[in-house]
Amino acid sequence: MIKIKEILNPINALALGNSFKDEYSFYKYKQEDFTNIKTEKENLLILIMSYRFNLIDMSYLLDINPDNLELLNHFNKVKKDYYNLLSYYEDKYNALSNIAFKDFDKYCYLAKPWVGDK
Amino acid sequence: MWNYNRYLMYPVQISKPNLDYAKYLVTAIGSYAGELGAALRYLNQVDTMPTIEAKALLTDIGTEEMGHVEILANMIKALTRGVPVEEIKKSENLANYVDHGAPHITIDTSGNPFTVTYYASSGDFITDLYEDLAAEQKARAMYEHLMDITDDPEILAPLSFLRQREIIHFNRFKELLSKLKKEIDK
Repeated sequence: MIKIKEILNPINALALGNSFKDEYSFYKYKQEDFTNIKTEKENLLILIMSYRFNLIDMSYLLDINPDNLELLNHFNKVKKDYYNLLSYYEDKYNALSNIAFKDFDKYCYLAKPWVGDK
Repeated sequence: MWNYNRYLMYPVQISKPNLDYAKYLVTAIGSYAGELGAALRYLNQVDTMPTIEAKALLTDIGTEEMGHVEILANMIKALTRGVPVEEIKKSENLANYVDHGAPHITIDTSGNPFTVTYYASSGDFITDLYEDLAAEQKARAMYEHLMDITDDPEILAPLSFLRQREIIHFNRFKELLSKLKKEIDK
């Protein structure tokens, strides 16, 4: 069973590709953080990716161990932070899904650029 | 059902084109070890899994694999974006450009099209989970080969992430298989 103390912080987890310290396996290149972020918008998106990633990784363990309440409590805490980040981003910039988390006066899903565009 | 989020699972921060590398990277989507086959393999196996925990895990990992396809497609886009035709003519990616204009991603390095025969769904959860474990190892090896042929940190970072995901998926499938076997033994 995974112990809570072994769960990495979301940014570190995303950079490495896993949320649980003991499962990391090095091959050729290691990234532990994201350094070349230029704007607050980019930084917020990386945070949203990180928290979402942490939740995805924990959800797999919860799929197999649904009775692990310690993990579920940690999952709930990260989930709260994730939705706070999502809400802050959507307030400031644009919707991140066609059914946005926030209410908008106008349809904000089509703001440019699209994923991966410049 | 699925919903789409307007962000990648992992940020792609490739700043310069590399047409020759893009030709090889497509294999991570469309080859026998690629992400598209992984996604379809797990999602096709869901219905014959014996427990709700197994159905959930295969659905969730299959969904993540589609996110990996998106990361790779964006890497390929960044590696090929804005390159003048004169440069394309000199590169190994010329045939791809002539056929498709933009990179065609559901092929392997030799141009063989993706096929559903890359994966199986046997209806037997033990058989299927062993196939899934093997699939994760095939993908891990593929990423290591792709990492071996470049020293560009902007390419290595997402590949390193994707390789590590294969290891995590392998671990979760192994735990699931072990749990299901124990339940059968009872």
